[in-house]
Amino acid sequence: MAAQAQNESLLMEQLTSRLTETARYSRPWGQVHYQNWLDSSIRAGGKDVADYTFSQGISWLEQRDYARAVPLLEEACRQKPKHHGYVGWVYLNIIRDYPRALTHYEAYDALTPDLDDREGDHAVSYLRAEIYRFMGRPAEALPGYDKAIALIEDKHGPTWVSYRYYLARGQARLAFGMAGDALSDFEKAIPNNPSSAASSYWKGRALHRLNRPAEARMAYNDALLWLRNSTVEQDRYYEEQDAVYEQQVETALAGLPKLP
Amino acid sequence: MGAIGSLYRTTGVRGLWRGLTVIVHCTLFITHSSSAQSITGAWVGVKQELDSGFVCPLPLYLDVRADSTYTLSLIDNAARNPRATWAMNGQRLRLDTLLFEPKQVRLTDTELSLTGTTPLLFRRVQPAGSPGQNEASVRALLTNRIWQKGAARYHFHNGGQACLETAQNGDRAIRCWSVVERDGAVFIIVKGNRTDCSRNYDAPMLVEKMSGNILTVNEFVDRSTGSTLTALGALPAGKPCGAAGFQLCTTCFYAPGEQANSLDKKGPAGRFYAIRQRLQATYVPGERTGPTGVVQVRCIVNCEGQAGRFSAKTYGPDYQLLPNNQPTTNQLVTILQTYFATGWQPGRVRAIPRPLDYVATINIRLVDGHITDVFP
Repeated sequence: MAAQAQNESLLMEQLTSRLTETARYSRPWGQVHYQNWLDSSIRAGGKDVADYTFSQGISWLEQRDYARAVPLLEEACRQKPKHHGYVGWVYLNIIRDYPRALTHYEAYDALTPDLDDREGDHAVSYLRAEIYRFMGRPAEALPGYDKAIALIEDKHGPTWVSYRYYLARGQARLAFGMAGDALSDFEKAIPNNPSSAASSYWKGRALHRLNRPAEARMAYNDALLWLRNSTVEQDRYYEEQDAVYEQQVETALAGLPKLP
Repeated sequence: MGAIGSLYRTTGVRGLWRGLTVIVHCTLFITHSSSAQSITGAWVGVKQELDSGFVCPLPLYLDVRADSTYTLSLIDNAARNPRATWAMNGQRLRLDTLLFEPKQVRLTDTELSLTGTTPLLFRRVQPAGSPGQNEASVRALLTNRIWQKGAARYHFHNGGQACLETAQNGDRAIRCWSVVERDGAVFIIVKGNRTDCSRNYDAPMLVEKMSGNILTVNEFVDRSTGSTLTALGALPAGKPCGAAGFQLCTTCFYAPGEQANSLDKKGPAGRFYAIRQRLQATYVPGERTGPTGVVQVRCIVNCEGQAGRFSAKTYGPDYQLLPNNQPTTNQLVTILQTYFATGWQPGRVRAIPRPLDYVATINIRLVDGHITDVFP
């Protein structure tokens, strides 16, 4: 009953704050209102039409309505090429359409040919490498990772490189058959995010490939520990394409030679 | 990391634009009202408009007294705010420290509408009870009987449990019910779900007339209409209500506002791995070259982690919407419906302690009818 009384007063608080917000802001909110406003802003024309078009695309994307979102995002890029960067990120991480992501990053990078452009937190060279890796073309991915990592490593040292960069290059190297180099990447990744299950798992895979099963077992167990004590490596907006799951680690463990 | 940075940037920009629109749209509200009406009296919440074309019941009771004080409470008095003062000059309304501009207020004999972020509508209560009608007599009449109202059947159990049956599909939801008297007006309140009686109010029913097996009620819905509750018979003794069919925990669910990716968690760890494995194992591509594009399956996950109301869209290679009823799509939906109807993680938002319903999306990328990726 105490819980019910608490919930009732929470509801009262919620409705009271709705009344407060209504008094304070005279424009109604909501997805449909927002879309309608964007529609009328686009119709009105002006210098911000490309941005309104982009926002409308993103708004439909949030609803996962690709048929509406995609034409708007493409149109926004035609009107204002700077949007290529963000739209490339959308194709890479939200829609997972790698060929399209590549086209947009190429167009974005071409805007300033002498510069390794940044989109969000990443150099385009890294993002392009990610696309090649997810397309199953690790050889083409490696130069991009090398460039993005060297940019930071040479200036500030390996502790300043995002563990995701090492983790990604390690996976590309492993796929390309460079198990020793891959292992060194995973070993650099782990200190930069010690609770990364994926880094431990892939370290185990490299060690397994190098025929060091005892160490591989240890790495897989580390991965399981982190998987059981945190969520899969994903953020609020998307699941990492190379997220590692318990079942995968269990399978890898079962693939190791039996202990004597 | 990049993802967070980038999306923050977007919301930042959008937030700014929303701010700007507040200014632009202020001028668009044109309200016609007469200041001769008095706000004094008892008002019952009718609706809150959460988006254009989407409204929910507003379970509030606003008692405005002539001595410049008012009290705002839940319709069944389950919670109330302290008594505060009000003032009205022309059409400018002050409720405690809240100021409503004249263009935000529309007051008529029977209705009070307040516009702004969430437009709210109240309707004046005009008690018109028949002799002998009070909280106790209405409760006694309803208890342990089955009542029909339109296509819905209410089982009003002794002790406050209600069972709400929908005639079309036979679904049965467990709710809570009560009868409350506010300033002489008697309301039938149906609210809550099977885990919690504290929210999810239906529109209150004001009892207007009781005669034998028929109750005439006035429902506080958008277009005020009288309805009747007709007694069908007694409830079987000692038989509690059993839920039937897939049910959401909220009675007013707005899908565009409840996407999985706006919640802290999208599913139990390993959910998408399990979905991928299952689809790879069970899906059989057709003999002819299959479609290229994305099949998008959506379902609603309720606060108990059950999934229902599966639906699907099929997009072609350029994200154009393809007609429904593609064999590939149907097969994928059937697999997901069969294997993933339970075991989801209820939605959580940090500021809200209770689990929430949400929409889960499963995207399946196909190339020539073969699955190449499954993603949230």
